[in-house]
Amino acid sequence: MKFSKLLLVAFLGSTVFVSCSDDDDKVDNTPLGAYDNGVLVVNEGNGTAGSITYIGNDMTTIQQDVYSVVNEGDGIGGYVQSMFFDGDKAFIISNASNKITVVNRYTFELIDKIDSGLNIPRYGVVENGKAYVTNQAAFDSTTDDFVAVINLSTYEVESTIALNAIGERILEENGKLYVTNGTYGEGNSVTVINPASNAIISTINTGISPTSFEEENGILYVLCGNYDDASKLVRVQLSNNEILSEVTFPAALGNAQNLSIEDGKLYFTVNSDVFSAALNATTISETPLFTSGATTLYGFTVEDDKIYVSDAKDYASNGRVFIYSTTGALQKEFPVGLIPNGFYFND
Amino acid sequence: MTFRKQFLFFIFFVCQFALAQNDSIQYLEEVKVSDSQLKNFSNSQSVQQLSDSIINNSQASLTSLLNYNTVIYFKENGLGMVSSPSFRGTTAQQTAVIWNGININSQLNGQTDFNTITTKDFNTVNVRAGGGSSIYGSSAIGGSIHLNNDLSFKDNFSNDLELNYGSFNTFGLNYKLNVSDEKFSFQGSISRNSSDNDYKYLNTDRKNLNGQFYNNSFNSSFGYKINATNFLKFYSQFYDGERHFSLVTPSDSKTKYTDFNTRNLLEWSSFLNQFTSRLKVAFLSEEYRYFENITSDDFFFGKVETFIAKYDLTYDVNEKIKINTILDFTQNKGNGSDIQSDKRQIGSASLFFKHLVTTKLQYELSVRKEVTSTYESPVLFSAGANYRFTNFYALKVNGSRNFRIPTFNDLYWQGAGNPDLKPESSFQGEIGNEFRYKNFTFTANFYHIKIEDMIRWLPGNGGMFKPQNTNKVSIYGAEAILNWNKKTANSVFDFNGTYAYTNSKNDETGYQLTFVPYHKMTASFGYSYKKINAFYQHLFTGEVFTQTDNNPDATIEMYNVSNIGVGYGFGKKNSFTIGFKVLNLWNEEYESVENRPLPGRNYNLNLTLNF
Repeated sequence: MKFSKLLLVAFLGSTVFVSCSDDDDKVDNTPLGAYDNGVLVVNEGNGTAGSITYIGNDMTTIQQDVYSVVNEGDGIGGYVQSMFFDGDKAFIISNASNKITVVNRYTFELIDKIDSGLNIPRYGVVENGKAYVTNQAAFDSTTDDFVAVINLSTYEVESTIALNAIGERILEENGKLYVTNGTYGEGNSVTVINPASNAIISTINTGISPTSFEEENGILYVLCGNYDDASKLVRVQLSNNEILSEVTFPAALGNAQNLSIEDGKLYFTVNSDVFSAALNATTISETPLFTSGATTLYGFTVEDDKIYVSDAKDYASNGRVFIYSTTGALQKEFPVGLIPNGFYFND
Repeated sequence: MTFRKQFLFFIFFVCQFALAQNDSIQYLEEVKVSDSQLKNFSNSQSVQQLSDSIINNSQASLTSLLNYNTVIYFKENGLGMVSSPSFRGTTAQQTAVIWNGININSQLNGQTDFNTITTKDFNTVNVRAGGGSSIYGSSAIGGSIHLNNDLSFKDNFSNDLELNYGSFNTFGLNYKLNVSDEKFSFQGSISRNSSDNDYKYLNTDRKNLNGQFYNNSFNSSFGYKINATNFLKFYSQFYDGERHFSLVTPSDSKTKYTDFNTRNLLEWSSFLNQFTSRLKVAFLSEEYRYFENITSDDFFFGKVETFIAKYDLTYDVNEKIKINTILDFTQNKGNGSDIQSDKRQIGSASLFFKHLVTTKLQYELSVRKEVTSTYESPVLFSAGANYRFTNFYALKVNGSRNFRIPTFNDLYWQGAGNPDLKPESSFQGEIGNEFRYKNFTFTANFYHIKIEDMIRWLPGNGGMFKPQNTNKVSIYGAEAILNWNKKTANSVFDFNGTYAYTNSKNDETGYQLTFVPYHKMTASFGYSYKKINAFYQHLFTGEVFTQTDNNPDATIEMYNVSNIGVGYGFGKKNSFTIGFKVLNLWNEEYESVENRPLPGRNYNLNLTLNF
């Protein structure tokens, strides 16, 4: 099938969906491009090539390898770690290729490439006209990790912030940047950075390795886990960067991953099991909400009353995405690319 | 022994030999090679010998030699980069490389990187297809590659120097010295290969970046005849190589990798009536360093030192029956940045039996059992027969059980190693047909292999990979090998061709293993007329899957690549030869691993001096 046809199909799919939902609400869902109104799945791929899969909100439209299809076979690099957004721009991070591909998030047309000044880039966020991207540099060293500060008018790295700890996930809240200092069970803190001065304001000790985090109502929820200790949830009061409370998980829930907060609930995963708990829970039950159909649960998120799970399988064959209701009823599944690791939403 | 000492030793004996050329010639076939089982207990299987001229026509790496002349498939991460074989549809860890009778596969990852072996350091290279674990131990499932230095006790003094230079600033040097008489035999060689390796990717505006490499190797083999029945032999090799790993995308981090391997083998052989006794002591070391960013001096490393003591006794009951026993003790000591320091000891006992029932029929049996505290080891065996119906046709039948033991990485990788792993084990049956007619030899082999407990690194919670005994694999296939040569007064013409069909499926999924082509074919023609010689070689490799789900969008396309060369000899005995080669003559755009293009048409000039 020619791309133009696909585009048409995708376009029609979106409009059909829009017309169906018109009765329910009057939100303007006019698509801003072929890949609006849908889910973007990042397929990490191998050292040479990753890809993005688009799944329409109609739960029917699917387009594999969106970027290459739109940009005449060009690639986004290997080991595609994550994406972040700024207005209608999407930034796609490839950590094998030390490259960020900047595209229009709705059309996937190439805008620019940032391919110098990066060293194993991982996650990024935009604040006040600049992008902040964590870089791990050498995996065996925790003293060379940094945050690259990217000027979004030139798309060039203009300065770096040394972390002196692992640089992994990053989020922005109330003008401050928060970086998890943990990967693969290593590291034990969260760094707080003032982007106005590029200075580290505070380092919050989480005890064990932070695997994922989210902010909700002024509190940073940090999920921590490694291969030996019991996992735990650490709540940090962002007004003073002090630890508010901690919840230690049952021993059976070791190395908990993928914290996601939706509608006042916490969700996370252990192996292929999906768990949920109240935001203010003081204990965590060993009983999962449900067990997903993934053989290797890799990417996970909860959005708009849907639970998205990606299956990396054996890391050497195309993956799969499962979409569940918040009670764990399977609604739909889709084939995606090699090693799907995350979900992003174009609504 | 340090290199300095080695070098002194070398100088000392070279001088001795130069002075001590005697005229008595004695030739003892049994002493010539160290790998006596290759000759004595491989009669029911297919053994392909790659001659000097084939070695000389090929590029220096073992990858290139075997890729263009055998049924073995190779994947290479760019020219000169990491190279892994698949023999009879098996994995890279299921082909054993045997150096003068000693298994030299890495104890760390279980395989040999075929771009770290320089073929010109050896007199003969043999390819033994099919199971050989009862003789050669771990990894001899798909087959084994034998690198031999032959020592002969006859008057000889020769020097050979080969220099070549080609595209991408590729340089090669090989110097060989052979000195022998009836009492001493010495063979030394030095090789150096290097390249900027910055070839252009065809049909793009990109070049191969950060692909430069060099390697040096020093080899010496020494034989001393103590008396008419006792011989001492010593084989030694040092290999030192550094490769920058070429980039997939120009913005990739630049990495490099170094190898430092040493191999030493001392052998004392005695011939007492019907008994032949060989006592061997070997010391091997391997060390790699991986620099994940060349701007930093930090590196990951792994190192293993191996000590082997072997007693090999052969008893010729009569002219028709041969019994051979081997007792072997091997100790591996490993450490590294990611593996726990550990020591592994393996003892083994083997028994081989060969019986020439009639002039037409012979059969051979072998059995081996290893004992180690690290894992449970199966009883390995091989049974085969060879029946020569006529001069024209012989039938070979062989069945064997073989294995591949868990490596240091599999067992001791920090946080991931699995000490409960079992060896991969396989049963194999094959039928070989050998036809000879005048100057033709045609071999057709059919085989079936079942492998279980495949060791795979599988992802667990949080993306941590751990090795596990998992899939079963069933392989069947066919191989055809054709040789023809014709000599007249002034000319020699020869042809060698191979074809392999390989069906290698994961039992659980029914999918073909990744990087195993269904079809592979090679052909080479050589022609020489008086002082001129020429060759043409061709390689066809079928499509391979890169994903375990045989996704039709994730494949490496088939390719056809040809090389051509001409040479001219000067002097009475062609003591000076000049040659020119065109590699990838048809400028095929190809790769054997995704996004790692191999070079287009390129050139090589070589000079050879024999004096």
